[in-house]
Amino acid sequence: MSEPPRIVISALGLVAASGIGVDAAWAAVAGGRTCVGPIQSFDVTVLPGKTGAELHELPDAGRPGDERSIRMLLAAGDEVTADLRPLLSDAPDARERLAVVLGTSQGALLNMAPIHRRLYQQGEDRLADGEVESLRTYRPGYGTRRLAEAIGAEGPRSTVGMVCVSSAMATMHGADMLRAGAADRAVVGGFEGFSPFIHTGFNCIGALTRTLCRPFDKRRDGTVLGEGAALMLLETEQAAAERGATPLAVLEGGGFAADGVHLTAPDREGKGLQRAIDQALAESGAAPAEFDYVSAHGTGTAYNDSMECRALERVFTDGVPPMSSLKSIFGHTLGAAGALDAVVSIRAMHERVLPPTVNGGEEPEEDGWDFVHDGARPVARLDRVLSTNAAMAGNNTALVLRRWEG
Amino acid sequence: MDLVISGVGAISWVGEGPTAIEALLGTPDAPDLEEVEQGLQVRIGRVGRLRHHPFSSRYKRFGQIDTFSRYAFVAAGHALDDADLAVPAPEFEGCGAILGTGFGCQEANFQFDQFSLDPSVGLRGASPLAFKGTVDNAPAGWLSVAYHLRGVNATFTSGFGAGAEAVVAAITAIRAGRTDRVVTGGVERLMSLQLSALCRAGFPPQPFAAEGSAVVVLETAEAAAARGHAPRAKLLGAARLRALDAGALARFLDRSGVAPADLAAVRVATGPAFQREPTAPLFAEVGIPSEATVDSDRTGEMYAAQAPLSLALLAAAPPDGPALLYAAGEDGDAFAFLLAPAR
Repeated sequence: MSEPPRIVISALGLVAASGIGVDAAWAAVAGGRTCVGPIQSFDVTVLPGKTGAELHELPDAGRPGDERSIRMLLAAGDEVTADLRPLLSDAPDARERLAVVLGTSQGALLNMAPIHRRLYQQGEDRLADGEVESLRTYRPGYGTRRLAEAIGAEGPRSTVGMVCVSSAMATMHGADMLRAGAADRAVVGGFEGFSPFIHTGFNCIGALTRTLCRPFDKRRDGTVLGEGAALMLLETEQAAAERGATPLAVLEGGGFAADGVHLTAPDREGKGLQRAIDQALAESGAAPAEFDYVSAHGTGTAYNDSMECRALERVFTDGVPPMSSLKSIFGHTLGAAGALDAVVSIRAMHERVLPPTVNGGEEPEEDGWDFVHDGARPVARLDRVLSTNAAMAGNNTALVLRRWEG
Repeated sequence: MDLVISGVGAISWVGEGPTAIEALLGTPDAPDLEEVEQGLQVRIGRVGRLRHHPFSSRYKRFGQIDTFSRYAFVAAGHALDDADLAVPAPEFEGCGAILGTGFGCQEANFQFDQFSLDPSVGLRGASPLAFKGTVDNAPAGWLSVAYHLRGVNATFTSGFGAGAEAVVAAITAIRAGRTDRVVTGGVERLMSLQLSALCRAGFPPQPFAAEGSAVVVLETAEAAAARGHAPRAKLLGAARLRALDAGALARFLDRSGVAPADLAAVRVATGPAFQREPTAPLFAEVGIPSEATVDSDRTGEMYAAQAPLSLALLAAAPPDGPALLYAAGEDGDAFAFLLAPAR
């Protein structure tokens, strides 16, 4: 039996509260600048959580009536396929062998809220014609279809609905498709729009901060929500070579596992996350000592951050590498979070700069651990990253990313 | 690595567990007509809704589980029983749960919106209990919590092919060595609002819409043998195809070591009106001589749960030789499975 092909990442696309493009996001990371501010897109007067990381100037992508998550997704799609477009326009085979695998928590949810509201509040007994189409297209796979159509991808399409690990899982699933020979390339990642629905939900389970999102700080009191779309172009190494592309990174391994303890709270000991990390390390063949950085989920909630520390201390028995969380910069982008973390990690490996954990640090979660609370930090070596995520329903994922060195 | 289906479970409008499997293998009576619901004044047609609220005494906190997740919970319980797996068992620690759903948790979303839109309390009216059910991965999450399935866990929401995709992902997870046993399948809870929209858009459910869940226990033959269990069927192959791609189907059969002429049965799982594609020309092009049986004509269209249901029915009563199951997804995706009797 032949060895499965090596999977490389050769392009990135990102839209978040920092703006449009990976460069805008990296500027926020390198500058240690938070994109969190007072929520402007809806009324939060009665809610305790009043801050969020919103994108105030939406991209022009899409068509009239597209809700914000779709517009962000299509703009990220433009960026991630910029170098691939000539091939896609010239070669039908390339379009047929390009898959799209996305994760999202709620998809194009904003289109549904007004319908729910009208049916509930006004007692309307008939759907308007325009609402019929909204209802038909309100399914998580709608974004996947729109992106595939926009970039000309005619290969397999798949959507993952696993809340905060959706896009990390989509990345692994896309890689599995390439290994199985179902496609040569896959645009993978996730998207999520800022919405009253999600904000209200996170408020009612007490997950949102009333002060500042402070990951890995003992004073933390909750997370803050964000929005965005984060995409990566996965290719088999051979497919990248055939079009003369220089990859950015290698996806060396991935793992996913359940806590099996509680539906909305993580396993306090992080056993599910550890199982996911163990899988990812086994698939990558990398030893714990070979990691230079951990891009942690780090939501800034009491239980998530401590459970991640418990899992990581059991994996990295000789000392946990520097680790940080992007949630206090971009907010928690839910369905986009795993891919956003991966995109920033890949850029960080190329810049050889550790992304910081913005806010806090005066009372670190673990004494002697390096949470990069002191700002973005240039380092001599940043070649391999472990990226971890966790979600409601007890899902955990881990990705192993390595800087491309040929 | 040989894979087997060691247990099957289902819940649908005909009932649950072995009763449901037996009824669906026959020709069940048609379900009721549902013309008007929630004041929408749209003729939906026949709808196979569950005739009772599913209940299970296996889990002391069953009352906390949302209705959508209960469907998968009950179906999985029957599948685990069928696989002779006591609950909870120590070996469950590494066992996975991978599900697919097309409509997902939309009804829970609607209910949550209703809570939070009450003008007298505003957004403060949002219920944390209701919010738990507003995530599509709640059913797979509850399986892991209640049955202690702590291995791989995933939920696909790719539309009506999501259940078939879940099964393929489960096979991939086992073959990649991530686990040796997965509870996998599909789950759908029908929302009248969505069905109304499909009818209004010119895609009424055919022959009728049905809700519920179908789950199979998939494991390595070695794992089943190690605990002395006689599996129901052997899985010869599974693949994601592009719809009506005869070449891919022919290659799939060839890779699985089955000649088209040797197929003992050909089953088509689905599909929804706007996905239904004629499969006869495809099969003729590949040289498949058998006439295909369309399961959804008898069981109702269970959307993302349909392909797992067909897989469960095929495994429950496998023909004497290899059987092909073909399931159309959305946007040109399709899936194929090959089963053979285990014994």
